[in-house]
Amino acid sequence: MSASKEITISPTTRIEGHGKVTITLDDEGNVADAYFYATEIRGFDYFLRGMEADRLPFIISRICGVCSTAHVVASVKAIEGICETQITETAKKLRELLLMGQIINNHSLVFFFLTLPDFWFQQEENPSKRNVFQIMRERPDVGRKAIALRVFGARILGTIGKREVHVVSVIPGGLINPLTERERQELLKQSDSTLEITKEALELGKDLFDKNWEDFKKAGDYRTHYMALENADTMEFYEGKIKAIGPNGETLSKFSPQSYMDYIEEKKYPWTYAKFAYLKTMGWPKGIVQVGPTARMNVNGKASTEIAGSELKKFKRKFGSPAHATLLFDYARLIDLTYACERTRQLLEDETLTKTDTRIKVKPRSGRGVGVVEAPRGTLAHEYVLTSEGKLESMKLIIPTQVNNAAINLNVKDAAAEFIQKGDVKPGLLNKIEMVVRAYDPCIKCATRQANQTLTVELRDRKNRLLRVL
Amino acid sequence: MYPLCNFVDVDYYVPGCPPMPLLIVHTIKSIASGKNPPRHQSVVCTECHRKIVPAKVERLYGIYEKEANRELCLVSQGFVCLGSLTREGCGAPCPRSGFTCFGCRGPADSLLYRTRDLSAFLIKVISTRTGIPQEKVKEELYQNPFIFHTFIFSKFERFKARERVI
Repeated sequence: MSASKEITISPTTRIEGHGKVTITLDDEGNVADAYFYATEIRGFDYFLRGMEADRLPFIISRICGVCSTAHVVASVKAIEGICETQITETAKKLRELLLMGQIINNHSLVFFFLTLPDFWFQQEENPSKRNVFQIMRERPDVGRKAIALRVFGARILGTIGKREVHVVSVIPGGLINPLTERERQELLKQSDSTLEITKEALELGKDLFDKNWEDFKKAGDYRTHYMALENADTMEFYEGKIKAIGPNGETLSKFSPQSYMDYIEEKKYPWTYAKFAYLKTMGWPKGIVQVGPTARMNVNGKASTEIAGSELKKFKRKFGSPAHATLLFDYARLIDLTYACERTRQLLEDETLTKTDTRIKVKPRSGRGVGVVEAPRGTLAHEYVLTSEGKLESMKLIIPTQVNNAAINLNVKDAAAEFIQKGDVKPGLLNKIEMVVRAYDPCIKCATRQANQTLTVELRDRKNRLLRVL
Repeated sequence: MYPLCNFVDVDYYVPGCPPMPLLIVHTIKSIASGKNPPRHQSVVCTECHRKIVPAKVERLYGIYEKEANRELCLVSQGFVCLGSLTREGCGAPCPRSGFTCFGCRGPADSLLYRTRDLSAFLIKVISTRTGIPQEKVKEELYQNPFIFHTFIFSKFERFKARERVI
């Protein structure tokens, strides 16, 4: 078979980390195959072996600057799983608030800075104009609101976590510092305007989404399984059970976080540094599963807050349940954001949040433990095995992007086949393909964790001269 | 472990994981106006509110083994805090909140230019502040070598671009 033409998008822009897309066309100019690659490697699983459990969460958070908080909380939960610690109610609420801060911070970044330019401008627009700075030039108020939302998210992390990026106050056994009444009042005051901005963002997003919906209805609607954390059929980010549903909405399995690794298996391919996670019971490739905002909408029947609850119902009525189109990730992300803002408000209004019993003593133990939380991009799981000296023997991380990796590849191919016919590459096409990738908001730097035997590292100086191969 | 400047020319090291927002702003502003960025020289301890009082503790503690006193230096309480080695400029958010500094801003000038041997320096600091004999501190620290090598490498002779750290 001779591949007559190859289209490469490298690097894919406005995502986290370094990725690449290649589309191969056959002799007639139709899409033969398409791949989404992770082109970097981090190696956290390898160099952290032997690390003492004490410091593990704070190094693990360095795997990603964007969702560092979700990683810290998952990591701490895994260690608590090993030590069989039950933390206090206050600590649970504060950690949930931290996760909400993370969601607000991240989703406002993804919506305003990464995906909004695609919806805002025509597809044929000059790419140099298609960015957030142009939006800020045209509508300074939108830019100001976007930043205000991000600041609020960062402020929650800064107040409770004591650092905006890589929070330090979350430790095994709870939190180091309780929230003071003054801090609670200050956050509560700021949350008013945030909720208003979120409502406006939701309306703006829905408007722009509707304009693009016809184009993307068929692009990337591969039918897969979905998985998310749930608590009695309600949206949940911190604790609960993991529910997996099939392509037609039927419940496949419900399992506790501690048995996560019994249900999820990973697969390697030599052409990318990111592994593929799938449902073990269904096998590969039947068990391809997706996590993230759309999965949260598909898996959960309701949300516990007012606006997000009604938006969730509207979403289900409009797109069916489960909904499959890739671009719905962008829509669902806004519902997530609304939920996070409302839930933050709910948690902050609770006066028991300032109780000082945030910490209990942990007895270090050896063993295996899993911690699962809903990160902004989907269900995140950390599994650690600790030795009797409290050091890390091995670890396994299942990152949302790894779970979505298979679906990203399939949907990129699906979208490419939709947009490219008979070798006719229309203007704006590459951006449309990138939009599909962007909808997943893949975090490649977290997901690149595979090292093959043949891995080489090339050191180059700034003139691109090869210095050394490791 | 080798520093980056051994392989490529480094214009500036902007310390911190992540660098503080104001540091980035000041750095870009000064480079744009053709000046050298402001340089922090001292250690994190200078920005920490905790009082350094020589104390008597029996052994070193892990972060979640006991609750820390809010006013006293973490090292005096037996925790391994790297504030005395690490470059200032962050406002010491970690030790202020009761969590040990783990050196994300890299070595301070005192290490880069004078002491150069990180482990010897740390052992001396811990031993004076806790009253534990140096040999015992050394023994306990060397069980967890990651303490030194999460952000800082131990041999500063290799570090050529010292004046490039801001």
